[in-house]
Amino acid sequence: MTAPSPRAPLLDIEDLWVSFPGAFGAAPVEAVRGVSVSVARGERVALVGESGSGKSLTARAIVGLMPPSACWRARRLTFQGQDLAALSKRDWRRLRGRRLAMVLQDPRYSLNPVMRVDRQVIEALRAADPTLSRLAARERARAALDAVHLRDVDRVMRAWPHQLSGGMGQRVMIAMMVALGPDLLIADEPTSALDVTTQTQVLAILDELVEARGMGLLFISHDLPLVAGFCDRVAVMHAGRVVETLPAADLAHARHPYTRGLLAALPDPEGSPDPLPVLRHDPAWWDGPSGGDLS
Amino acid sequence: MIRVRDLRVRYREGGRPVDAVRGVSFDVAPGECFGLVGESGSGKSTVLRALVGLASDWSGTMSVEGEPLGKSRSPRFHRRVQMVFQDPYGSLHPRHTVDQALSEPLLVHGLGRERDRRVVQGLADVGLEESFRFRYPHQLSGGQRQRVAIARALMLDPVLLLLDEPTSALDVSVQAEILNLLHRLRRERGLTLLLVGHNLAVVAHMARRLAVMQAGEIVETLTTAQLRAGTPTHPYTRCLLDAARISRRRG
Amino acid sequence: MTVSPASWRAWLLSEAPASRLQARLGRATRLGLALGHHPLAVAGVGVLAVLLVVVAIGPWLAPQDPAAQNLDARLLPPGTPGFFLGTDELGRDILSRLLCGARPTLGIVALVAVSVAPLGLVVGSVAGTVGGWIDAVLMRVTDIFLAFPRLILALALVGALGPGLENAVLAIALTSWPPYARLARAETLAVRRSDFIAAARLYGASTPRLVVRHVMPLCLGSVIVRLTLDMAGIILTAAGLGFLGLGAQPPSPEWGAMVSSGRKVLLDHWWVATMPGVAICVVALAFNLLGDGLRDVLDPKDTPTR
Repeated sequence: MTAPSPRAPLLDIEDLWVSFPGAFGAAPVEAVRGVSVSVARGERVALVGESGSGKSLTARAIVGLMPPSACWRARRLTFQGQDLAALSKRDWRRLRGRRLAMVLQDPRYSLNPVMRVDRQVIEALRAADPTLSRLAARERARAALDAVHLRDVDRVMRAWPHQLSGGMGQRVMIAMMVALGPDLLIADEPTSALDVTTQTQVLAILDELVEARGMGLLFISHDLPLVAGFCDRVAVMHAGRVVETLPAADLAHARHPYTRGLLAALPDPEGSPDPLPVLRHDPAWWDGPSGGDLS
Repeated sequence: MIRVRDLRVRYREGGRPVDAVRGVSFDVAPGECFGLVGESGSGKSTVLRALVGLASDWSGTMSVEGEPLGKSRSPRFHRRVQMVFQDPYGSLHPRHTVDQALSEPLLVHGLGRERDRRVVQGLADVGLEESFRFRYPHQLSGGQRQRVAIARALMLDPVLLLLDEPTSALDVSVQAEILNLLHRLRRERGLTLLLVGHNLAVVAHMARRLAVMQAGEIVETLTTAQLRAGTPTHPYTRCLLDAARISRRRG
Repeated sequence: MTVSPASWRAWLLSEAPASRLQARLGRATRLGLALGHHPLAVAGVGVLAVLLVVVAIGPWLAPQDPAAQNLDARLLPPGTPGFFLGTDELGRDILSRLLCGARPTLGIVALVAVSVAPLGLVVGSVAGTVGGWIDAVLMRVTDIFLAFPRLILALALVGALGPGLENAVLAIALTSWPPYARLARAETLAVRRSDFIAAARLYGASTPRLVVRHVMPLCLGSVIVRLTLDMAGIILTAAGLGFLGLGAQPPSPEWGAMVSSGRKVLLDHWWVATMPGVAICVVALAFNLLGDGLRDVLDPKDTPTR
């Protein structure tokens, strides 16, 4: 095996399939069908699609948190050149958090409701690095919460999760993940539970982390315009496949009719009140050629 | 059609009273689509809940079709005013078929004789085939459920439809379909709509006039023409507009 | 047109049922199939099916008259020719008594079940839906009943009413409804604030209609599960009353009464008490397994949301 070059992808997925056994002996349901995505260091890649497109399952496959009934296979699924399929449970524990972290959609379900914020962050830090002393961990936690621009860090640290607003909770989650200094952050709809103004702040934090630390970011979202403005590369998913991958700046010139249809269906604050063009799903997209990597 | 003056709504959260709406006034003309925009916690949904009688602790005056509203709502009110909820997964009874969901309002108002005809008609009105009639909600997609919820709201032929974030739980392509459906229904039936949402683009697409809410108060009321001309004065409205614009431009 | 099993299946599991009946049958089929994939629940159902057969035709299966005393054949051990499970202290065939006793024993259980579940369901869902002082009153009454140990309260009631099968049923029913009311109320509180209840209020549904058509169907699942899990307890309470001589009266072959009479000779002739005891155990276990299976199948939280 060749040594990874500096521009070698951090995360490399090739031909990932995920399927579920059908109910009552029916044929298995294939939720992800041959997805290939790669994320390089310091790169922001978006995985965009509507509900049921398989984008979240792809993310879960990467961090090894699949629903128990799911079966998956991939020609390649490597992280920093390491085959994720071959990892033992112990390896996983060491990998998750420290080098590979995930932020979920709703902070209300990701924070433990009966543990104060400071303890949760400290526990996460110490779980990833058992040599860290309690005091040092507390300092690191404070620095992390500071880094995500939380006002009044002391109050947040003493707070119970239910006392936090959605935006604060999400920032705590990001702080927790980022304090571990991961090489790759997978963010599954990190802003869709948030208001517009908070959303902008959270994106700015993620942006800063990518720029300053060279972290790789895989951003899962249903919001095409949002990721277009935020990410470097966009992979559009439909029915378990990537139909198109293109640089975010070129999204306006998207070629695939599905991508174009999605963009057209968005209401425009300054547009006409005419009926919106409705996306007509074309069965040909189901099996058409998979979108190549244009980068 | 709707006249709201100095509406204040208060509810209890963990024993502490919270002023969710603090002195809101607006008017909606018959046949108009009026929008209320704001972020979560701005009190926009609470205004709707107070109107339909789901929030009890309110003060101020509200009237619909010239009739002042008291603490309880009459059967006539229920036939004239209906509401569509945000979450199509939560607004349909999980153990009722579409047929039952659409029949219930008719049965409550003693219209059981017309049940079959009106249920089939109701499904057709929202663009659902008759084959959906005996399905359970779990057999429907999000967009189909929201269509059923809209059909249920229309079963009693209301004149005023209150929409609480009707598309925010839906995918973009489905959102477009539902917005078009609401457009068509409004045209065909001469409905008055009161649309609540956090997405300025969606609300501005539907409404001629909208009010921006923040922290329980209306900070600005303006027409979409003014919005398009870029003359909103309140900084918060600008902030919302910028957010909507940025995402659009970059797309 | 031929109707093959496959087409039946397709009709039942259709995603687009054409009638109310088909939709209902389809839902029942799905539940049944899901339960069928639960091996322990299938075992429970199997045991209960056998039991139902025994209830139906037990007296005809019995090799001997369950009440016929034969003092020459007292306390014969199991395996004696003609007395497969042995005889009791009056020389009656234990197998025959078990087969005939299924009917009174399960009769008690069935009567308790059909009186307890609706009562608890109504009290709980009304209290939860209406709230306010009605809720407070109903729940305090429930608490009072809950405060007494079940068997003691049943004993007191039977003591006051006089021993007998009917009074035993009444006593058990009166002591077992409170947990159902609590359960139904908890379920009601969980759905009370949901949008579909709000929607029903908005089209003017009255409170009784709300309770009966909207709230109760949602509480029903957990009440049924609780009931199957409780069956064992009901049998044991009934057996306990029988054991104390306050339930079925001799010579009725009720299982609890049989255990009770076997107690006197337990040390020397273990089978007299053990055989009906095992029967009670098996039935209780079967209901428990079924209850576990139903809980897994009916609990919406466990259904995949893909």
